[in-house]
Parts: sequence; C-alpha cells; structure tokens
Amino acid sequence: MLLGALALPYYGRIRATEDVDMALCPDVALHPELLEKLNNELKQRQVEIVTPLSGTTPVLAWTDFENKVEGEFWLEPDGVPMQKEILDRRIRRRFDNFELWIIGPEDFIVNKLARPDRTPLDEDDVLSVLKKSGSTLDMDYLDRRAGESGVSGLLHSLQQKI
Amino acid sequence: MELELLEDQALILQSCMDGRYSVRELVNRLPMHSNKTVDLLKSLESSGLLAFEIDRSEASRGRPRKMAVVTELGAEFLGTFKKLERRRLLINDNEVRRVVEQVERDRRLEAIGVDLQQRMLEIIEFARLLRKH
Repeated sequence: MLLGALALPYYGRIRATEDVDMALCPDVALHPELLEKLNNELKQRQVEIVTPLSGTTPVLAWTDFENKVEGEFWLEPDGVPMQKEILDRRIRRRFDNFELWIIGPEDFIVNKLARPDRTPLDEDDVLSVLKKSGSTLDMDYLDRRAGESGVSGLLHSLQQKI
Repeated sequence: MELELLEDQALILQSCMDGRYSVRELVNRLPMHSNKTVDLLKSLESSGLLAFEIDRSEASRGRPRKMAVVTELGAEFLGTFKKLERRRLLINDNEVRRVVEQVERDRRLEAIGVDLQQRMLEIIEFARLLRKH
C-alpha cells in the first residue's frame, strides 16, 4: 500500500518527491523467504539496502543511486496499524501498467502527523488534504484514528488554519 | 520561560551531546551572538544541565580548556524538550497560504481536464532528471 507524498494527487496537492514509501503486509515478516526475495530483487536492480527488514527492524530503507530515488518499505507505518478497517479504506489506482493500493485519506493524515520525525512538509501535505478533500473526509473516523495515535491536538490545530 | 530561550538552550545541549567542545568552540560553532552563548552556558551550568570538565587529554600548554558536558539532568531536559517539540505545529502562516494557493491551482488544473496523477509523475521525473545531471 502506497503511503507518503506519492499518494497525494488522489486527495491533496501535487508536489515533487524523491521518496517512495510503502506499507507491506505484516505477514511478510513471518515468511523469511519473502523477505529474502524482496531483498534479492532490490539487489538485482542495483539498489543499495540501507537497513534490511528483520524481526527487530520493521522498515526496509533503500537507495537507488542510479535513478536518484530513495524508498522505505514499512511493516509498521507510524500511526497506521495494518488492520482490516485501514485496509478497507485504501483505494485502488492504476499507474502506467500496474495497479497499486493507496492509503485512504484519513489514514494518510494520521500517518503524516504521527511520524516521530515530522517536518513542516508533512504538515503542508496534511493541510492540502484537509483543504482539498475536507468535505468528503470521514471526520468521525479521522477524529477517532487521530485520538488513537495521539495526534488529535495537532489535527485540530491544523484544521483551524484553513 | 520563553520558547525561544528554551530552543536556544536545547540547541546548546544537543551540540554538547553531539560532540565534545570547549566554550570557545561552542561560541564559534553556534549560530548566535557570542555574549548570548556565554550567558546561556552559564545559565545551563547554574541549572545543573551542563557541567564543565578540564580537558586533560592535550599537552599542558597554555590555559587548560574547559569542555562542556551534558549532565544526566541535562539529557533528561533535552529528551523532554524534544518530546514537547513534537506536540506543536511546525509550519508558519506563510506556508499555510502557499499550500492553500497550491490546492486552488490544482483545482483549476483539474477543471480544465489535467490528470493530476500524471502531472505529479511529470514533476517528479523532471526533478529526478535535474538531480541526475
């Protein structure tokens, strides 16, 4: 499931980014052969693995020096436990020749605000979603999820900005 | 205590956590007036957040250097400050206006039939090519 700025054009602003953030099914961690396959696939593409996935490191960070792209594959995205209701709210979108799940807008907001390394850029992204998709967001769900992730205050302060 | 003062204190503590510096090195290193740095160092020492140790590692030529060291209390203070930092908004009003303008621009593009997903991929590719060259 696609997270981060690449998910933005579906419900927020468009902007440049050099990061690819993806959430992986947590079951991947239970299958070492899948982790090995993923790591090997990246290696074959000349991608440097900065931190490999493991039982104690739930994020695979990689850098593609040739194409100048960085990416992170998350097993436990911040503020987004990979539960059924979150998966039910993701959206399916087609890229050039493949389809991909995109995180739902409410969970996109919570994920951005729950990041321990949150930057002003993350808050800009959240604002853009609130501004563009505010009337279609499920506010009860968003409020509940923000509360569960401890970011209600941040969310409400941002809502007052627009 | 003013937020700016807290931020300056945290900046000094973080610098002293990142490396071992003398007062003179900190004055040269930190992005603030030298008098302010010295006053803050004294204040941090007085509050028990910072201590100074004589540097015995160098040959004893000239005045011995006093190296700033973050105390246990200072480390706790810095940790708490960082947690508090996460509890406030980081953007300013200019950025809010810019984002609102961007969203309005995107709406206008959509209204004339521009595919925003495709447009964003074009922007990303353009930026990527710039980085490659």
